[in-house]
Amino acid sequence: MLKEYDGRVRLVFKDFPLPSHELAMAAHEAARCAGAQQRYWPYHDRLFKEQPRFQRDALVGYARDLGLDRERFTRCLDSHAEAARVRASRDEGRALGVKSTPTFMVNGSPLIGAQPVEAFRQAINEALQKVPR
Amino acid sequence: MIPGSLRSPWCVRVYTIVAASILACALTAAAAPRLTVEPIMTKGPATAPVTIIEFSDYQ
Repeated sequence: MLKEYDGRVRLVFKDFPLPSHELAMAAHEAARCAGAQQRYWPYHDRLFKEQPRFQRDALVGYARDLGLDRERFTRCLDSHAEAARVRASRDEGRALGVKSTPTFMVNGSPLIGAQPVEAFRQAINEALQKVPR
Repeated sequence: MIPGSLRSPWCVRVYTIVAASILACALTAAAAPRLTVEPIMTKGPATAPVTIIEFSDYQ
C-alpha cells in the first residue's frame, strides 16, 4: 500500500500486546530491542512470520539470524529495557478507545480488524479527498 | 489606556467570545489523547497527507 500511494501515506506501528497473549509482551520488547540496533522492521516482519513462537530462545535466534549483536540484544531483552515503552504504547491505544487488534486509524478514522486491501484503499482515498490542496 | 470605543458593549462581547474560544481550545488540547510517534516504528514520509496508525499484537 505504501508503494501504491508513493509518498502520500505514512504507517505508524503501535504496540498493543493483549494481556491474554502471554508471549506477546516479550515479542514487542524484542522488536524494540532490535530497533535499538536499526533492525526494527526486519525483526517485526520476522515476528509476524514466526508467530506464535516467541519463547526467549526463539526471540534471540531471530536476532542472531538478522545479524544483531547478540549480547546487546539479550541484555536489552532480559532487563526489560523496553517494557515501559511497550506499556505506554498500549496505554495510548486504550486512551484512544482501542480494544482489539489489529485496529487501524486512517487520519483518525478507525478501521477495526483484519481488513481486505480494498477497505484500506477506500479509507485512504477518502482521507486524501479531505486533505486541503 | 483603552479608548472608549473599544470598551463598548459590542467590543466587550467580542472579547468574551474570543477568550472563551481560546479557553475551550486549550481544554480540548489538554484532554486529547496523546500519541507518540517513534521514528523507528514508522514507514513513509512524515509529511505524508495520510497517516495510518496500526495498533497490533504480534501474537
